[in-house]
Amino acid sequence: MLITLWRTMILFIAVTCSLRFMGKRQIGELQPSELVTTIMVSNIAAIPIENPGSPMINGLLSIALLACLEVLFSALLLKSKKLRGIIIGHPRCVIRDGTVDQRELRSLRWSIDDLMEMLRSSGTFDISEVLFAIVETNGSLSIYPKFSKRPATNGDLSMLDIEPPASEAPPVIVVADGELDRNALGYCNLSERWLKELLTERKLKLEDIFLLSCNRAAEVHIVKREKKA
Amino acid sequence: MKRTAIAAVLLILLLSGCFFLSRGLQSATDRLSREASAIETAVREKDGNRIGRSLESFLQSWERDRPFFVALCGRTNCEPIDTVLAAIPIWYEVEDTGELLAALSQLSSHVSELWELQAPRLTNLF
Repeated sequence: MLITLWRTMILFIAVTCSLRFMGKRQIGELQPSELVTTIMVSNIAAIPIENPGSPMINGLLSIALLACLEVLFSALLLKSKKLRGIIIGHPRCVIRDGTVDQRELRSLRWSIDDLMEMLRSSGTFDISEVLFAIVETNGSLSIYPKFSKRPATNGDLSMLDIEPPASEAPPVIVVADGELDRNALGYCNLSERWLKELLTERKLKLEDIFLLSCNRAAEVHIVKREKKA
Repeated sequence: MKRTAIAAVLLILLLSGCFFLSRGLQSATDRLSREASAIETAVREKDGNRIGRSLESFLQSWERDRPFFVALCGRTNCEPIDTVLAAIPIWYEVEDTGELLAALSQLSSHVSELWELQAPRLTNLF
C-alpha cells in the first residue's frame, strides 16, 4: 500500500512537471496533438499506480519522452505552416456574411443544434445577429457580430479626445494574506517606503492586510484580515 | 526557444540513458545465463563442488542485480526466478538430478525472458 502511495506521489510530480513543461495551452484549450499527449500521459501514469508489479521506470520514461516530443513537435509546427495545416487543421467559417454554410457544418459533423449551443455559450442567442462565425482549430467558436449588434467602442463614441485614465494597466495584488509581493510593487513603480507610509497613514500593519491591490496610478484597494474568533 | 532546446537535450539524454540501461540489462542477463549454464554443466558432470560454487556465484549475482532487474523489468517478471531459486537447493539436497535440471532449465528461460521482454526488436514492438 505504501508503495502505491509513493508511486502515485512520484507520478503525480512527474505528470505535473511534464504538463508545466509543455506549457499553459495543455491546461486550457488543446490542439489535437496536445490533447492526445495529455490523454496518453494520464493513462501512462495510471498503469504503474494500478499495477505495483510493473516497473515504474517505464511510466516515468514514457511521460518524459511524451513531454519532450510534444515540445519538439510544437516547435516543428511553429516552423512549418504546411505541417501545421495537416496536424492542427484550419479555422472553418460556418457563418459567412450572415449565412450559415451548411456544407461546412456537414463536413465538421456539426448539427444546427451544436452550432446554436456554441453560439449561446458565447453569449449570442440570436443567429441573425452574427455576421461571421469561425470554428477555431481547438474547437471553440469565434463570433463577429453584425454592425448593429457590435458593442460600441470609445472610438465609435468619438471619445478619443478625452484624457485616458491615469493608468490603463490593470491592478495587481501587492499584499496577499499579509505577504508582500515585491515584483508587483515594482510593476506599479512604487517603493516599499511608499507602502510603509500608506500603512502608517491607515494605521495598519502588513499582517493586518488580507488583500491589497494597486495600479500604476497608486490607487489602492485594501481588504483587512478578519480577526480570529 | 529555450524550452525547445531543453526538450532536445532531454530527449538525447533519455535516448542515451535508455541505450545504456538496455546494454546494462543485456550484459547482466548474459552473465546470469552463463552462470545458470555453468550450474547445469556441473550438474550434468555430477561435480558436487562445482555445483555448490556455481550456485553460490549465481545467487550472489542475482542478489546484487535484483534491484536493477526489478526497476527495469518489474517485480512480476523477477518473482518466477526467486521461486525457482528457492526450489533448486531442495532438489540439490535430495540429489534429484532430473528435477534439478528441469528447475535449471526453467531458471535459464526466466533469466533470458528478462532480456527478451525488453530487447529492442521488431517483434517486441508489435
